[in-house]
Amino acid sequence: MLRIEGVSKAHRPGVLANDDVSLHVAGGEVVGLLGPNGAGKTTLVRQIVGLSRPDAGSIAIDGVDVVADPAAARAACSWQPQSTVGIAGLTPRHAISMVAELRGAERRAALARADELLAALHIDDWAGKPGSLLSGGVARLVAFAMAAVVPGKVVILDEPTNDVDPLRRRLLWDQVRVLADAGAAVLLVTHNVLEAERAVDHLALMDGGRVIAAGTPASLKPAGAGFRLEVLGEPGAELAPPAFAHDAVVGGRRLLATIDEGDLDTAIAWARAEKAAGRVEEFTVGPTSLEDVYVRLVEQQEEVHA
Amino acid sequence: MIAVVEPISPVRAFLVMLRWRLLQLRVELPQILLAQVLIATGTGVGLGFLLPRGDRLAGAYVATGAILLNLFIISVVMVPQVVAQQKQSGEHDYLWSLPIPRLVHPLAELVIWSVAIVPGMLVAFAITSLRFDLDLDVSPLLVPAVLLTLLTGTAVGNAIGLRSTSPQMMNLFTNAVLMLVLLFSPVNFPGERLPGWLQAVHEVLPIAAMADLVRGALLADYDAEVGRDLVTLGLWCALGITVTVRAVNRVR
Repeated sequence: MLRIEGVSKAHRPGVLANDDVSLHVAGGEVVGLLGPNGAGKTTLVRQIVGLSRPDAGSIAIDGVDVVADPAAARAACSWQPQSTVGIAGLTPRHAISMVAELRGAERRAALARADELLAALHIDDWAGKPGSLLSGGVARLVAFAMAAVVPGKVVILDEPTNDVDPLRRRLLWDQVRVLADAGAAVLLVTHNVLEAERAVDHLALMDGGRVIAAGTPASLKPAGAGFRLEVLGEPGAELAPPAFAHDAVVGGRRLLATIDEGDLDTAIAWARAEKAAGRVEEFTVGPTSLEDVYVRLVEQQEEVHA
Repeated sequence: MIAVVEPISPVRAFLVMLRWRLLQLRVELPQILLAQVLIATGTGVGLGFLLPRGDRLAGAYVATGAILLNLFIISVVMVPQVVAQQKQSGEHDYLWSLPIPRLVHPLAELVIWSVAIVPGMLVAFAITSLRFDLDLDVSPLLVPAVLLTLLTGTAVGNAIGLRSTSPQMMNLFTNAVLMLVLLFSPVNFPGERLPGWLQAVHEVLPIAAMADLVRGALLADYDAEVGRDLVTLGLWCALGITVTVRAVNRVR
């Protein structure tokens, strides 16, 4: 559905915000675009929705070259921008339904769909309040609803869960899945790795304007990546990394380390003993998370550049 | 779920956008209108204190000055600030990503602000004509004169806002413009009192042409240079619209 091939974009001569980026999102699929601040994610999005033009490369939606035809991009994409859409005196119900009208829906159908989304996201209590009185999280959900009310073939969500409470985040992820199940290609921009791991089908990891890794969340974790040990020390207790742990980091009361699969029993026994001795308040042992992989990949990338 | 539908007609897009902006401004707009009426009353009465009673020529200038001041406050102060704010907040980017002609939004803006100027202008006119006992001779030219003045003002204001770098700078700029209009333009007094070089500047700027055109359409014993005013305003209007169209359709 969305095919980005070799896109490069420089904001200033010589400084590439996007450097030969290729990315595909199929209909019915949620693809997460992950990366630290300044990785070039939003720059890429602005080119897809036709607000800026690539210096090189191509962007096609359903076979249509949207660089040559920005009007086609606007018809094909619905977009939740990273910055909150200021609706001021508009109520969420008005804003959502009028975007639906501007995207081609009849007024009655637009209002019905707005009400459906307001209820699904559990923000119907705010439906008639002026936008200027909404909290950051509710405003974010309203902006999401404005993108989802009449979804395009491609739905682009830039940091949709910022400031949103944990319960409504789940409701939002449900609605993202509804969009994909209806056939939309969903591109989800985020730097929240833990959420991305659960919500997306595929991931592309960006840093320094380039895609540095891509695949399913599980495939991005290298085989033999090991396990992670996390320990929270009792206040005042000295935490010393045990001998079997590598890459140990101690920060405040918290110790984070990687352990090999063969050391799992040893690690648990060590942690239980430390807890019994009153030096450890709690501990967890689990598979290496995508966040660990992410941090490692970005650090490697930065070492290469240095 | 609503499936993707055909693009809507530009007229319907404009009407929805007009509704969007009016609802968005429903708190501010009545306050702005009230402030306009108060300013009109204030200038109509206040400027009169500067003048000896019975000076009808001075009264004629103050009357048209009060009317034009209202116009300038909306078109080159309010409009650029609103537009600069929309630009800064990313609202423009969002609206421009929707599948409607991008000009629909500035057009709605133009219509709303052009109408918003009218109450203040009417009040200013009513107060000053009562107070200064003006010899009125309202010509049929008044309607097109006011319309062109409104259109030029809002088009230029819109263009200025779209080219702004930040709302703060815009604030500074619009204050300077207001000062220019109030004290250094042939709006509240005859142009001959200004130094020659400033008179030459006003040959090019639209302010003097607006004042001349509106005065000519209102007063019996005032001859406006209608042809020259129309050319000047026409050019400025075209410039404002061209800058707006280019800024709106720009893809970086």
